[in-house]
Amino acid sequence: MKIFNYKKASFVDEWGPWIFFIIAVGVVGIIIVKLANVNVSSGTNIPEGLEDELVLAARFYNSEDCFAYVDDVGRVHPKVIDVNKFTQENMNKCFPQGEVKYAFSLSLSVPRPRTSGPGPPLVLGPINTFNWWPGFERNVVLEDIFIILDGNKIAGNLKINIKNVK
Amino acid sequence: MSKRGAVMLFIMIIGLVVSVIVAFMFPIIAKAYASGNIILKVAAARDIAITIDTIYAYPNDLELEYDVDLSKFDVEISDNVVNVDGAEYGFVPIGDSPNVILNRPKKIVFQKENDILTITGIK
Repeated sequence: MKIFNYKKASFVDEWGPWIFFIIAVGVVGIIIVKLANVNVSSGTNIPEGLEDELVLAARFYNSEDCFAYVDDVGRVHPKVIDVNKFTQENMNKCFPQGEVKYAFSLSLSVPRPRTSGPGPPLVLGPINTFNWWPGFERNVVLEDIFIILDGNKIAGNLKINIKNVK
Repeated sequence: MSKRGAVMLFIMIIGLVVSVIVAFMFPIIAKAYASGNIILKVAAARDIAITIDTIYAYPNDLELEYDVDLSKFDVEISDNVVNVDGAEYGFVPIGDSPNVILNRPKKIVFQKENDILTITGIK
């Protein structure tokens, strides 16, 4: 009775190195593609703070379709916020659902008018974009802006909390 | 040396030589792959999406010319996504929903008038 099956042994001897070689070539190919993708990602990286702070957040205080004040003549005043427009409904129009990597939450800090006496500033909000959830914020931006309140233009702050969504 | 041993040695030498060549070519192949059209598509998709976001944030009417040569690709802007031959990046419109396909544009012109964005490709 033969204990060792020479046919099986000869198959391993003949094809074993080739199978190992093909697997090695496959692994090398995958590594090359991964390396290339890393190069593509690093070459097309958007600088930190550009897309979220400078580009997307700018609409909140510059666009008439968001919260920017529009005067009687129809001129849009950048960095001037109309308190009457600072609503969640306007936020939903200003920042509709879509494929975006950032979520925002806004609060408006309004100093109390002198006529109402001393006291802490009024805080309006927060109003959030559709993809906002409570918890850790990656970044907080404080913009010095003007606020139109009861026909008066007063200095205030717009606090913009920013999160990465994906 | 047996015949089987000689064949194995021959295969091992070939494998070793090929491995050394491939390892040496690693960075060259990866750089060539990454510095060609792929990086241009990905960069263009992101660039155009951020340009559109910036235009929507701008308070007045404007016209802007994007003069990067994309004549190797088709550019599709729809469903709030810029797609340059498979490379995608999202943007957030305001009160608008641009829907346009540009076939191999040499440059792209963006016009915003009364909050409506018009995108035209020029060949």
